[in-house]
Amino acid sequence: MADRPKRAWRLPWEPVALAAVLLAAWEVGARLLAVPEYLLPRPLSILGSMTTQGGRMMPQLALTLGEALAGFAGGVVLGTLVAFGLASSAFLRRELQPLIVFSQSMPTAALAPLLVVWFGLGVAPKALLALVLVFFPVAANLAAGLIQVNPDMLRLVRSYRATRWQTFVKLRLPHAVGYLIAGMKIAAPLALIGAVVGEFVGANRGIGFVILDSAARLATVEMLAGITYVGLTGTALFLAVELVERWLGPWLVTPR
Amino acid sequence: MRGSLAVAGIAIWEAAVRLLAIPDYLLPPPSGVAEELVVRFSLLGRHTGVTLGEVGVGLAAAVAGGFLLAVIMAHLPFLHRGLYPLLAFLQAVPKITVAPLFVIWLGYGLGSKVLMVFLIAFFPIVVNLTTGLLLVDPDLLRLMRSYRASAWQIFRAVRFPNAVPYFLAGMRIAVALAVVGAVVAEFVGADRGLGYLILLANAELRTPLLFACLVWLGAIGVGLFGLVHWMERWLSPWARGLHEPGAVSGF
Repeated sequence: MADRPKRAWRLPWEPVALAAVLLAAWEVGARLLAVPEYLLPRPLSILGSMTTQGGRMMPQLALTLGEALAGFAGGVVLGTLVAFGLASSAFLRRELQPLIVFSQSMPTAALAPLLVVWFGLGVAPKALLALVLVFFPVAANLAAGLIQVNPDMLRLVRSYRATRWQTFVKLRLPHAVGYLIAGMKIAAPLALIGAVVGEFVGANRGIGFVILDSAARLATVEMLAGITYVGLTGTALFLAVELVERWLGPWLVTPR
Repeated sequence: MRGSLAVAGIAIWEAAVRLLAIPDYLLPPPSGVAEELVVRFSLLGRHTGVTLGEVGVGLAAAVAGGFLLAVIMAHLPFLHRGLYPLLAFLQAVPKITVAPLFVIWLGYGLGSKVLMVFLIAFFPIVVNLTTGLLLVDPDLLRLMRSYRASAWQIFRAVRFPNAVPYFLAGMRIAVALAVVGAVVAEFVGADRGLGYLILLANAELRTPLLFACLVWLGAIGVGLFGLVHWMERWLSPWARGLHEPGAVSGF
């Protein structure tokens, strides 16, 4: 959504400066007004807690990240299969398209407690919730990329008597890669959200559990340290997908 | 025939539960869920009302706040250069994790849920609105300027109409997120609402009630989605490109 230039990638200084000013105002304001730390911790205390609690939180964060990545992988595979199905069969398209649009408006994260009933308090329900959240944007975007090919190119390929398979490999698939990446960009933070919400609902491990547990103890500084770690991880996942995009090359067709 | 796959799916679900004698607490049959929807109608209706209210107030606040900030950003280039990338960046951060903090601040009542809905719905609205206000055909701006149009006139005649389809595309993302935000905030700490009822049903292994809650949640989501869709057709029938269901977004 951000319309930054693709090639000359540099960190613009304005947002960094503004973020620094806002954080400084938060720090100074909280000190001057003597806001109690359990209500609103200061940025420096959060940073301090991130370093002191880092050793305790890293294994929990790693667990959550593992759940998110497992769900991400599963969701991408399943979404790809369904998208291929949608692209190759008019019947499936007619039957499944409304369901996919419907599921976009469904608050899927609410499935978390049900998954806990089915799969217990372990790792599985978190990874599955991540999978469900990842599945829909991947399937919908990839299907759009496979289907919405330039009709002129389709006619051209047909005039050469290309088989269905050739049309798929030479035309549809290359066109769809950019759409797939766009879907994965949306899905990467969702995978993490799925894992964390799953832990909110029922867990005794993971960073979501740490956050909720700190909240229950009014250890707000620790809680915000955990939240910041989740935020950084989400950003890292997003950037990782963006790196893949850059690596695949500038010829990608990106959906508007 | 359209919908045959969905009907077949429900029939298979019903038959499988009955034939395999799956207990209700694991997977209730569709008929059991339907029965629960009827029998517990007033209970479900009460909690649905609570969640819908949280979503409505939070969304209204997000639209008002997002509109204000977008207009300010569209007119102050410096603020736009500094703030817009931050907002776009924050869109990718899982904001739902802040829910426990809001419970500490505002307690178990409606306030913490409304704040969560506001926070989660605010970003897509403000980012899309700002884009729509700024991504204007430069020829139109030159034309307006050549007529010595005031900033207000340019805003009213060019920028605002241009932003409407962008705003509605942002709304489509925001309504889906808003329901999730309300429910997860209720998961984290509440004494009312569908999220609370889901956790209660879960703890008592009353899975039919849990499914009934999910049906109501789906109804809220689809209803809001339909409302935005209708607004798109009504307010910006010319902007077809932004309506394509291909572009999906997340929280």
